[in-house]
Amino acid sequence: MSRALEVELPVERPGPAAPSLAERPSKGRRGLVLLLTRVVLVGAILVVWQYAAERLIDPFWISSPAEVWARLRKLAVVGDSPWEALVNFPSTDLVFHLRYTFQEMILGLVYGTLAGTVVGFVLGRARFLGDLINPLIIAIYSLPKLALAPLFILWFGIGIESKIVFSATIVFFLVFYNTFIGAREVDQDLVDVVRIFGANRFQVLSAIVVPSALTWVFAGVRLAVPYSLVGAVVAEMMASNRGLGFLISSAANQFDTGGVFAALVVLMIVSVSINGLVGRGESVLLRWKVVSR
Amino acid sequence: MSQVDRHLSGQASLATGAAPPARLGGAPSAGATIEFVGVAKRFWKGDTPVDAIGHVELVVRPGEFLGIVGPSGCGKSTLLNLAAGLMLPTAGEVRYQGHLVRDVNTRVGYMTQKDSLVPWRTVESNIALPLEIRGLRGRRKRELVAHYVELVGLKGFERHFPSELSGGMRKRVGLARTLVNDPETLLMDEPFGALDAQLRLLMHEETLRIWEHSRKTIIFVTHDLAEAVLLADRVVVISARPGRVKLIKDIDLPRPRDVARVRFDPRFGRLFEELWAALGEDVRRGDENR
Ligand SMILES: Nc1ncnc2c1ncn2[C@@H]1O[C@H](COP(=O)(O)OP(=O)(O)OP(=O)(O)O)[C@@H](O)[C@H]1O
Ligand SMILES: [Mg+2]
Repeated sequence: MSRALEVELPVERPGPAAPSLAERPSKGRRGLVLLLTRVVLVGAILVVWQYAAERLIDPFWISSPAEVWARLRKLAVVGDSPWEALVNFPSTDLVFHLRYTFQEMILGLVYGTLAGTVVGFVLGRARFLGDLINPLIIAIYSLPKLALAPLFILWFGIGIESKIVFSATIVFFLVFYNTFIGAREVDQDLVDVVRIFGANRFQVLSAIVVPSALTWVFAGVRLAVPYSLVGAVVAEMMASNRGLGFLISSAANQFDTGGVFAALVVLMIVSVSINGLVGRGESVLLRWKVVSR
Repeated sequence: MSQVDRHLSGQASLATGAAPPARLGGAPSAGATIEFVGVAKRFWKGDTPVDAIGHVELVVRPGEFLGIVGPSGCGKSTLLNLAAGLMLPTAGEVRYQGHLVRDVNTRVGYMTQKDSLVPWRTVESNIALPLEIRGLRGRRKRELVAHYVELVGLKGFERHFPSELSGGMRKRVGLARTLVNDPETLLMDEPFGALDAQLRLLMHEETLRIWEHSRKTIIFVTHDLAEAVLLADRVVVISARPGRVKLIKDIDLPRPRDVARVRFDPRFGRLFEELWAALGEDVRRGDENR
């Protein structure tokens, strides 16, 4: 293993992708039991929560499922009747906040990935340069990125720019480090194979080095996607008047526990969906890694 | 005449089935394809030197089928690596058609001991790799790839990734990938080790057919002495590490050879025994060195 890894960094080694559904032995019955048990469990938790809020603990601290539901409804739809609610979902208000956060996240992801890939690849291939600045990179990497947020707000203001920069910075380091290692750990045997086939330098790069590093880039992006959301939301919580992070912090500032929970539920739904999408994309792109046992 | 056939003119094709012209024994010895002149190779494992090759003098004649056998770790793969220009000798020189090998030797096709398939490319795209590097594309590329997929019996597996194949199948992809490039010299490092007996026999037939149709020089490294005697014009026995040429034996079995039957030729038995004796001493010595 390369010495660069002496410091524990969250490098996601490109591991085998999940086996495809078609190969998995059928376990329909077991799946159903699992699903039912989960539903029952969640129901039980909600019931206990509701009971506790009514009898045991002041709802000021823990709100209650009923209240969270009401706040969610107020956040997501306009109108009182179920019909109105259905027609007006999602409310322009919710869309407004979601769009803001998404925009920060996507732009942060794009800029961070681009910069991380390019810099990681260049430094990974230019051995001397890479060795030279490796300690600096590790130093910056070890710094909790959260600590940078106030600086970015100072530099880029409280608008969308500071959030994008913050999110992009987090993404950059994750993608950069994976690409850096990927560009260094190219299988020399594969390089030899194409060189004997008469490949020139450019062809060695395009046929072996870049694709091999790309699998590491994917692994880095996979890791970075949830963090880009974290970056956007955290920056919003520090200074903003819109976005999911703003919803959380403004509800908290008004001691509106139900509102905090409602915003958290939205955030959870968003992040679960995003991770699901990334998982899908990964199993398509890294199909060749499927190991049949 | 299809484009495949044109590409293969001078090469075997399973489809034609025409009897190969007999080519008897030794090849014309005008010059040499590969020469190892006083070659030694030392590796360093930390501070301790590992002498993989002690001193090898060997001339590989144009068009010959040369078998190389020797105990494990005696430097057989290293010899091929040197011939392919992937490493330079510590002493002596390696010449290819008279020219000093100092860089990667693109005139050879090298089937390495490890299959070295590109893991993110499918079977067909692995086989197409050398063609793509040569700038060949379109129908001609597809036809050649399809032909070699069939030649190594992998029809139906074109879209599989290496991780989805068995060891023997991967070896065959490697063979197809080497052959599709039509190199003038073939370096093969235990190419059929992972195959079952039947498939091995087929591959032997195919290798001989390709060799008999073309003017290729083949260096064939194997652990299996019978396989070497079966296929080769000459068999070289390398001593235990540090490797030296211990014995070079002309295999005067008639050609074309019937790989299924040549084992029962009494001459085969005599050759095998003589080589086995030379090899045996070293296999024992090789074990003591561990
Ligand atoms: N790149 C390398 N770096 C260091 N040592 C090496 C290297 N390649 C080979 N060796 C050493 O050189 C010796 C000969 O290796 P080589 O692979 O040529 O043996 P071989 O005859 O092909 O063995 P086998 O039949 O098991 O494949 C071994 O002791 C091996 O450890
Ligand atoms: Mg070997």
